[in-house]
Amino acid sequence: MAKSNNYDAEKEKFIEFFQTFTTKIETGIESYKYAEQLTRIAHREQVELCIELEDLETFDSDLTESVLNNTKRYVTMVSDVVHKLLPQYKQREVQPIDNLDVYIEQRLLLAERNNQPGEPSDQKPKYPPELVRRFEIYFADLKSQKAVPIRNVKAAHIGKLVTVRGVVMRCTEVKPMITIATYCCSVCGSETYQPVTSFSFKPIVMCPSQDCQQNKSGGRLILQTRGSKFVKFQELKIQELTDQVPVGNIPRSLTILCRGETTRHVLPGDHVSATGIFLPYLRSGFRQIAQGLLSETFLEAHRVETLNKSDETSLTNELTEEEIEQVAGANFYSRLAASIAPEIYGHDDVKKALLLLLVGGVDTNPQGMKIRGAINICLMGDPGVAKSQLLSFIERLASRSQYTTGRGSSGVGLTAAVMKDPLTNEIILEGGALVLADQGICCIDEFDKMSDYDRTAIHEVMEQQTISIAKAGIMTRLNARVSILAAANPMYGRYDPKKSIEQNIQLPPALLSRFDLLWLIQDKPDKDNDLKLAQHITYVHQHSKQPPMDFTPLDMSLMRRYIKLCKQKVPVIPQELTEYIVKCYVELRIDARINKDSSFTSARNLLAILRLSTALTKLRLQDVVDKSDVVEALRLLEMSKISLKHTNAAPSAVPMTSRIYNVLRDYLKMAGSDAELRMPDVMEYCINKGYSRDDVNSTIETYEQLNVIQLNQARTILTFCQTGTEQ
Amino acid sequence: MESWTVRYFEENKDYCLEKLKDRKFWEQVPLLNHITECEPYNNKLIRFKGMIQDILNPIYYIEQFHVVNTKTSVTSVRSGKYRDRIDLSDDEKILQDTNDKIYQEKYIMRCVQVPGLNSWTKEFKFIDDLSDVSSREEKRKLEESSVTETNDDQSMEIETDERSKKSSQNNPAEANLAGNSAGSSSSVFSVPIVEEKKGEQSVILNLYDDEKSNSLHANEVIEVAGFLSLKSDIEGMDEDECSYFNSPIIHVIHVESGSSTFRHMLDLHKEYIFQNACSLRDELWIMLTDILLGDTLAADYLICHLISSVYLRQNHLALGKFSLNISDIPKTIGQCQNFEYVPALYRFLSHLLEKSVYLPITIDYLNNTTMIPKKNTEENRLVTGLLQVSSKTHFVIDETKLEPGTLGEKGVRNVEALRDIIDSQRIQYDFEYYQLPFVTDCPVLSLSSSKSLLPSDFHLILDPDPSCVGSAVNCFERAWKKMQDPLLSRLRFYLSHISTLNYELTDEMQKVIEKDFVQMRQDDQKTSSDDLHRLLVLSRFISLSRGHKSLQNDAWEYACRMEDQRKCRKSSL
Repeated sequence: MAKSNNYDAEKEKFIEFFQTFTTKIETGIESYKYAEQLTRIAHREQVELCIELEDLETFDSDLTESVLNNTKRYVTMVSDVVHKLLPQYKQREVQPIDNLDVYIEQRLLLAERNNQPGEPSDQKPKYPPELVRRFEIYFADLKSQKAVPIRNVKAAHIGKLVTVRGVVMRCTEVKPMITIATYCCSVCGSETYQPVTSFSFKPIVMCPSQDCQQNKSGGRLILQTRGSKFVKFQELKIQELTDQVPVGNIPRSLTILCRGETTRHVLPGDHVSATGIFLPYLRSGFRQIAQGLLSETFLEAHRVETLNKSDETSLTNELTEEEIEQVAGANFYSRLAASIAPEIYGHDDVKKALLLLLVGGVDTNPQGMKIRGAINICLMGDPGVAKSQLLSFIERLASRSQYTTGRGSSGVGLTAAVMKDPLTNEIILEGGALVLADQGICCIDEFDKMSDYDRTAIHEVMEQQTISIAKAGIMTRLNARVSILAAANPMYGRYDPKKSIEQNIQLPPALLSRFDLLWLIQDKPDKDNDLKLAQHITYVHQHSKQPPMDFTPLDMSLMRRYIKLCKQKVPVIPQELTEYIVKCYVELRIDARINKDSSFTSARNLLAILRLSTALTKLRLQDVVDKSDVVEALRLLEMSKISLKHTNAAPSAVPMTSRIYNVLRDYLKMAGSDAELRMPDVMEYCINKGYSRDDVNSTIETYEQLNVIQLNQARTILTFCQTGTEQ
Repeated sequence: MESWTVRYFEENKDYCLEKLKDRKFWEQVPLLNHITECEPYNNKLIRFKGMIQDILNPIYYIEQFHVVNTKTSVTSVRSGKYRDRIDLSDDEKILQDTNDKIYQEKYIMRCVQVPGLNSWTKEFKFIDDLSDVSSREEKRKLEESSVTETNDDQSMEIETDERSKKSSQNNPAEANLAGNSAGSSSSVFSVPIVEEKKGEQSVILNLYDDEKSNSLHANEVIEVAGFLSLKSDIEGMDEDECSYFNSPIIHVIHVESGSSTFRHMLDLHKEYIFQNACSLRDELWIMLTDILLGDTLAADYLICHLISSVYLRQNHLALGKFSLNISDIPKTIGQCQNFEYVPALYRFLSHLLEKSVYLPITIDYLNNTTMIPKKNTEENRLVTGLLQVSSKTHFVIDETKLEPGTLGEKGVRNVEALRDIIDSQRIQYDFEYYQLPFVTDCPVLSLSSSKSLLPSDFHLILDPDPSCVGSAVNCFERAWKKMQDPLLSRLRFYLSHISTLNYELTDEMQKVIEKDFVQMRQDDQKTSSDDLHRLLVLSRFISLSRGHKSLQNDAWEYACRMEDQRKCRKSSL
């Protein structure tokens, strides 16, 4: 008895909660969240009433606790409460909408007419309350409650509200399911109601009404579809997500039953998050006896939502301050880069470029013209220099990515195929790798081995970021906002530095110029590096683990989240910087003309600089591009060119110091011949050209000793002594 | 043990579990694997050896419930554990409304006969005295032989078996007819993966121990003891489940992971094997040289391949994998026209290896074989594939019959899967909406006429001795003749266990290796880090095959020489 008292008290609490709970919409304005919903329900404008436990928590946390632990019971209770409350919220008469409304209205009228005035109406309980209720009660789990892996949903969860995530394997059609069966007697005409709670029911045959019982007329009951109540019903089967499956285990699955408003939210293949009550099947009749020992379980859905849509917000937990600090410490740029494929030794600049590719630049749409922000990179190199490993690491790291090989994918496999649906015979479009990687990264290995026909499909994607389809009467344009990371082998097995890039890898210049960065990875024998490499590998074999590094590579998921955070930034380039960038670009063009560069310098390079520098700014989580970003972008561009130029050819005939000296002379020419150069500018210019600070310093020292160059005491101003004699 | 029932077990749980730990007792429990007629064993204690093929969703059962006798209205408590049905007399009824029903989970696993298990393992019985058999000849070597019991019949059996094999070998034409060799029911040729339809070959395990069940993985080999419960007992299962569960159920009371009689015996002889590794290796080397047509280098590589096992896994890296491709297998070998070299070679190897699978790759075979396990979402079960095997199963791929042709979608996937195993020792199971990687540890040996279609860690061109090519049949005969107990049993132990030795690389050796590598890079700029990995793996297994626990200079140099010779053969083409 004490228990039911308790329930009564709780009912009161719920009434109070519904009537008084308010949320702040804006400052000063408060809305009665549930009261308003109840009004709408009373007027049949809303069906589901979703009670957010978050709200209830602020109202009464004990009650929330009880709801979480015995949800099924509270659903019934809240239904009663709401049913009782509804008439209070009714402000106007509601027109009957469907059959059942009319049907019930008629019964009510009939009952009223039969009721003799003065006689206490005992007709009420004749209708099961569910028959007239037109609302559905759902609970939404606390936000702090983490999704339970399907594997961990255990016997202890029975009867409780749990949230799980998974992939929908199977879902049935939405079918009507009877909840109240209404019968009509063939003899006396009286109506009988039977609530159905399990998955099967035994129809009542004999009329239980007083008349029939007394007269022994044996009236038969006929099921009345019109008067019965049906709800939408759908059965889902979800399977564990990959990250929840322990190594070497088979993924588990879980059945979810959806009724009413929770149906029709998902399709097979969707990633979903479902909140519901974990219950054992109630079997009735014969089966229950035979199988009394076993019980299958299911989740009675209260809320089902696909994760694809709310991916960004609900799936990723925000980075904590601590984590941001961990990432954004000193040297964060090199550290992040080095955390890319830490098992691959060296190649720092390539990794930095890949990091920028992950972050991406900014998409802009000035006057309808679309300029892509996605960065495309092509890695070339002799066989066996870990290109594929880099690619597959990026593929794993990026949150959205596709991996294909040039030979393995036809043009159709990359773009989109027009298919005939085997079930409906409709013609449908099926996206290929590029479409599937929309907003992500498409890694294409063995790019050079693709047939020309297939490669043309990529042209459009790489600049316009769309795919146009005109096939089988379907004409459409699909978005393919992808960054392309390609890997190619040189034409003749090894890269021949004497030939141009186009000759080395048989790709047309039109395609090559679409890559922001082309990188030639080479494996040159070098005593020191070889020794380091040997030490690294023997260490692995000796101790069966990776050698301790000077830094600990960042965790993959942390990087993923950090990159996600970076992607949200949309930095702008300040006015002052544009001039600088333009100047740099013009220099590049001049250089290209003078040096008869084997690579291409076009307007696309300018865009590449912009993309790289904005990506760098994003990486720093800043909103304005800094000059240092542009400098770094230029450096990467230059490095990529150097990787193409100075191949194999032993350290070129001209020693480093002379080359730097030439650079300095060039700079002098540009700066005008007043022969006084500011040291920081000089340094920056040289670094842009791909020389290291140390090399520049040593060059200056050498030439200073030769009295060719002079530095002032503070080492800020550089003067050429022999400017006059220059020819 | 005969009299053990579920009730008896529940009442004397501690005693029973203790009893099961006794090796002798354990051996006496009837083994379901060898039983054809299950009926008499229903509800009796039984053993089963197999590989976990699929792990299904746990099922909830009621651990305890109340039963009321309608006549006497006496209530009693019954247990729902280890049972499929409630034994109720006519007067009894389950009390539905009691609140003390306790739901518990039981774990359901589908277990199949270990795929690829070679037939000779069946002949092995629990003999404590292998060393005794050998002691007749090698008494001097064996001081520690702990002889307990002699069982001459058993060893005789093995020997006679060998003899029958030998005689079949004498006639190569006859030997080519698959399956006549071992004289046992399953031939070495029929790929010994369990066929789905044969219900008696797989069982459904019901496990009741949370902790133990969670520690079990798919593809693990286990040996269980429990109570058999035949299907006919249960009514009212769902239709679709019925077809799947149409196999006997074992309510497991005890699990031993990876256990098998073979391994148990191994523990007894470990010491001997380790101490005599070198001489065993030499014996094996002579045999393998014979069957590899006199190519000693190939024999060296093959030994390393046979004992290889993955010892470190990191991201993509799987150290210790040793896939070997022996190419340029001569087209016609021996005078006898219908002598097939590769199958003969496989038959020989399968007699040494505990588990092996033979894949005669042709276009048709690739296109039509289900290799990759796939989840059937309709029936909610994992459909097995050829490549779903437990670790240490050797794959022998025969590419000599491969003709040009077109691979279909399935064929391409199969090739990809094989490639994945070779490259990173893992395989992606298909779960329809995503793929899940499962790690494997399966050395892959491919034999081809020219360079293999599949990648390999070591590609070796066979350089057969012309005289051997002519008399291949005789070579094989010579090798088979050698394969006698006790040497045979020792070699089997040797191959399966020698790589479990603790191996180390000393700092001094590390210096030598580093120095050598830098030099190698200077001499030939094509030398890459992969080469160093290869050398280190190779030298590891060379040392281990000799029973050395650390790398010595001579093994390192030997490895370098082997690699040089191998590369030399490649470049001389």
